[in-house]
Amino acid sequence: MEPAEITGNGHVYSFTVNYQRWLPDLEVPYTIVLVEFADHPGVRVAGRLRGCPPEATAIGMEVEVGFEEGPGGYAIPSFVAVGTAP
Amino acid sequence: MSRADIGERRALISGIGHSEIGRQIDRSGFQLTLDAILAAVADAGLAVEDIDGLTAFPPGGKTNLPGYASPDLSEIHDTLRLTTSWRGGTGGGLPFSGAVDAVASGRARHVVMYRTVKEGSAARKAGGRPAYGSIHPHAEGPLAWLLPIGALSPVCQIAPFAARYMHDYGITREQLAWIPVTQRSHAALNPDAVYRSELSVDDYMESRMISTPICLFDCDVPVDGSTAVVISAAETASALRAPVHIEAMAGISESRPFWDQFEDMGRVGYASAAAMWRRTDLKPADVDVAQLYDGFTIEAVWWLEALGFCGTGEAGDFVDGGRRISLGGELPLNTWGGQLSGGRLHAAFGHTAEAVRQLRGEAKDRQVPGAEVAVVTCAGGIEGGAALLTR
Repeated sequence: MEPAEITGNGHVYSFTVNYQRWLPDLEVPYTIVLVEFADHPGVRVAGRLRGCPPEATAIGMEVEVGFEEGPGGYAIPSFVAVGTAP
Repeated sequence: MSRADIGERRALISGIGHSEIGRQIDRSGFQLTLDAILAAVADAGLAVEDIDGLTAFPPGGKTNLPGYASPDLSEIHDTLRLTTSWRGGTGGGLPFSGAVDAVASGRARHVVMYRTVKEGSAARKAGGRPAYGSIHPHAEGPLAWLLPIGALSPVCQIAPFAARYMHDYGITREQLAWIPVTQRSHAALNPDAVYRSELSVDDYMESRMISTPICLFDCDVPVDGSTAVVISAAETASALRAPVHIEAMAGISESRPFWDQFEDMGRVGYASAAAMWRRTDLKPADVDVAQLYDGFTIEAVWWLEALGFCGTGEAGDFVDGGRRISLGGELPLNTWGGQLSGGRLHAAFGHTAEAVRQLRGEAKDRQVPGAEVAVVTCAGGIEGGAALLTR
């Protein structure tokens, strides 16, 4: 088996806005989205949502994938609502 | 399926016991475990020398949450100077399914199992409920997909599924509030529960949000405490004080077993519930009392639907106002307070112990009169199990 590449925009299956400061330096609130891709049923990608205030997040909204710098120099998935500034 | 094929009918729940339970108990997990085991063995009407099987949940190995792991099996085995013919194994679904198989197959006669948590002390030490990865600060395995984005707790993982369920069926927080509110009223009658003061729907609505739509009172309470259960072979019944029968049980794992990939967490219990009902002639209407896993409010909601007490998407109406799920209602729910008010004893050990008390008529002020059939479920999330117990 090999990894499969997924391209294109996705849609928000669901989301949560986290308010709890689980770690001392964690900035809250932030939005976590589970994103699905029409051409790849059965796979979701979890990420932060950027460029959209938490209260504007909605199930079904279209997002495009981007990446942001994560701990240890790794890039982590981070989505941007389509039509909003990144 | 003939009755002879149903292995769980060859097993009994013979004893239950617990240590002191509280937000912070100044005894080690090891001591708490021994307190619970000795209480459970005595409760069964047995002596420690009668015990020939031992298991624990979790079955051992890695944990990345402080205070979560139970003490090591070999430590307990040594301290009690046991001789055992069966050790370890939980079987999945419900934690006692492995022990049931052991006594049903003749591998052992009396198995003790325990679940010990020190999560109350761990939360105190961390200055709040600890994040995943607190012990080993590395994102490995499935958590590698979740920790870097800030899904640092089971709350963040189950919350999107709760949001989706509420969105799809038009369920409101005001409706779901009745689960923690009603369970708190039950906890008021349970001297071992950690939170016993009155909780109102207003208190719930005004409480702080943890991860939408899950607020503080939707989360179970981390505690210190140990619970032990004794599973015995049916042929030993005459030696037991007050055994309870296992009418049917099942634990099905389906869908992708990861918090982000699970197809529809609202349906996690459906396969287990259906498999359990296929093993009995009893029906949902025969159940007198329900002890449904409530790590979060939403898990109890989903179990109500999975077990057929109401239809899919109907649990909001079912629990609204609290009348049906209160003591005196048609389906008293989590009569010990559940994990939301009684404390997170985890893995349905608290739920199982309360089901046994109810069926024996030993639940004191919170006794459901004449309770003959109880249902117990374990977990939501990525897998579940259900059992029907009878007097």
